[in-house]
Amino acid sequence: MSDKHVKETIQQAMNHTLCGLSQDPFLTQRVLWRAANDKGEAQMKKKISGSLIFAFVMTLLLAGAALAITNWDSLKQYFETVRTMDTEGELARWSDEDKVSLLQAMEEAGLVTREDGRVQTALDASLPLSERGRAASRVIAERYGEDYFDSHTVEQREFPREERSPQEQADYTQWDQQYWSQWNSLEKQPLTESRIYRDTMNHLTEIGEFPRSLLRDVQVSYDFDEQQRTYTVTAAIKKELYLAKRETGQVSLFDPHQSVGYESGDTLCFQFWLDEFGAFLGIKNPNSPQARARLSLEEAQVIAEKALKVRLNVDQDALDSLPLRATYSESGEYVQEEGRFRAACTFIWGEKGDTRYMVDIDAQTGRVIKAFDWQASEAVLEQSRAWMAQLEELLREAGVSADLFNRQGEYIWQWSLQERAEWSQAARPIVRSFLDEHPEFVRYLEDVLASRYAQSPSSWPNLISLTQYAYGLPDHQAISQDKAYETAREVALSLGASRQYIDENKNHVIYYDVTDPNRPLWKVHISLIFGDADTAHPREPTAPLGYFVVMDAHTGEVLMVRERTVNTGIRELV
Amino acid sequence: MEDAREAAASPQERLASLVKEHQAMLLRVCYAYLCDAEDARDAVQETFFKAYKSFGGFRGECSEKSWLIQIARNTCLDMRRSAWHRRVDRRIRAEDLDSVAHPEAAGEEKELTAAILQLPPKLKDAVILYYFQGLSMQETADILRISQPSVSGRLSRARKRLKAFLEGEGYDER
Repeated sequence: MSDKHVKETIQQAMNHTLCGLSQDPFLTQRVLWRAANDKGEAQMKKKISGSLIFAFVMTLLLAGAALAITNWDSLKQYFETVRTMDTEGELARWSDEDKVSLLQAMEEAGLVTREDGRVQTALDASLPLSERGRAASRVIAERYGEDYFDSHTVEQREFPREERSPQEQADYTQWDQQYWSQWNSLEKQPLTESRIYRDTMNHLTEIGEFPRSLLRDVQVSYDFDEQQRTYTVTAAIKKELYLAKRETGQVSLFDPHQSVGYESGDTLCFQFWLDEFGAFLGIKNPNSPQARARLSLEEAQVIAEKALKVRLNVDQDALDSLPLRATYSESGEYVQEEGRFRAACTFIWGEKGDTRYMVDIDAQTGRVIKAFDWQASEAVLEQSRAWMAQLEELLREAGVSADLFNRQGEYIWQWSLQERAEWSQAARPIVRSFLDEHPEFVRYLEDVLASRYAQSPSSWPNLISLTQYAYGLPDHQAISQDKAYETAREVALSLGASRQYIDENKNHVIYYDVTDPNRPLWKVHISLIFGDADTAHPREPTAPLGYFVVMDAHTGEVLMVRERTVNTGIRELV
Repeated sequence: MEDAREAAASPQERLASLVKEHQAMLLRVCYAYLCDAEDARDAVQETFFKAYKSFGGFRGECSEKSWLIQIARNTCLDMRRSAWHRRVDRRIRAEDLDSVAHPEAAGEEKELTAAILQLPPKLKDAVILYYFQGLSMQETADILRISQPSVSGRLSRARKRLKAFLEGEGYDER
């Protein structure tokens, strides 16, 4: 189930289940009345049943008795300990030391005593820490629950607001304000090594289910960037330790789908940024274009400006007069061996919605991937559409399919050799003649291949691609179509293609190329593309999308093999 | 056009428009946080009251829906933290939802809803905002004041806990 499907399922379930909640038809009036009579304090009505009133009174009596044997000073000390420990989270994630420390504070506040055997065990320093932690855990869980609690939970449990006298409430408020005022000043102090360590541990538990037992094996290192005033913190753990734990299904931090961790030698690492005061700035995604870049945007900008000057004769003044947006991005170039798009530094000159120049620089090598004038690209695109419309009209007038569909509604890939041969013999002379009469159209097509416009090289019209060569039918000297397919299949298998994927795909295409009548060719495209939703054939990002095999039609000799990737245009596969 | 209309409307008219458009949604959100219909109605009233009082403070940096949900969430958290709320057993079972459910709501839907309402607070928070209310990852992160990967991590953990209820739909961890 995809994320979108989870969302839809949850929305449908909750909306269906909760749609019976009755709305208040006078809500607007009530709010306006409250606003008109507001004295600055929110009034919340409470409906209390008889049994709840009884429970409430009993609780008050019991809590009152508890308060009688405690005092605000000891509680205050305890609350400060709890807040300082930053114990927020599920108890299962606490270290044994933390559990014992909290229990120690509880004892000092008089909330538990050593008469309880578990407390005695937990506070006995001669016993193993794990045994003490287990005992402390039982007492804490009994008091505050196992699932989740924080300092607020503790304070409400031990010192309920409803039960405080006006003086106690005033004392509590004063203490609370003082605490937060100190906390705020603490936050603005530069980070210390111990705070970096603690923050790292907090972020590790936050991002994935990362047990405390593993946290102890995490090594923390950091670099401070003087210019940016930021820390890059790296948490690393031995791969074998992590994997041993992973088999139990307990940890998910380095789940490849979350993409926040990366491998480095025999360790697994995770990086994030903090500002100089410890504010969390974000996680360094090792797969992001920025993380993969070797060039800074400033370095790449120099190259981008030079590219525009050399290729398009754009002077610096023209660029300086336009607003510039610079960012790291994924270029349109797919890197097969990495299974992802190439990282690029992208520069866009012009107002938002009115781009003028755009340049993509390879973020690792500094190579210019694209540099073009957006307005010129738009203009020439319009012109190319007009040329294509004229050409298609010529084909239709001659009774030839211009949209590459036959009368059965099948696209040209599904046609028989016979159909494609007949179409080629009729369409190709018309297209070649049109191109001869429109050299500017030919130049545009060449410029697209050379990435001189915004248009991608793979955007060449299929009609143009499929009329590059003449197709016909095999002569008596040619090897059979089945033999040609079998040869191509063997080539693909020898290059690592999946036998299952080849044999279950029905979209292979075979051409008989008679452009040179003296040397006809069999051209076979072995397709390995299935739909994204086809779980039986999941896409392997680093595997080719197919193989294009060209062979001598008479001898069967393989003359050329091309792996099809995301970047391969149709014009290379015909 | 929408901005111009809002600017021209009086605060009272704007409140009426907000109530009409968002009351049902906020009731469900508040119920999800508080697991009590009466408390949810109180929280919704409080939410609109706070919104009305801070119309001038809404600078359009997020969507109106996101803004209201943020107020409602804070209101619910305040109520949930109160000692009163802590003393009442809020554990929800699927059959407890009959009083607020659509008559045709399927048993599986009630079970999934009950399972969501029983999630630990942090996970429930993320599920309500991102999955139930359809806020973006960034909006959810902004409201929870955590990073996007943290939201993603919480959602992932929530999905694992809800796996049994979602698996009936063919959920796949990949």
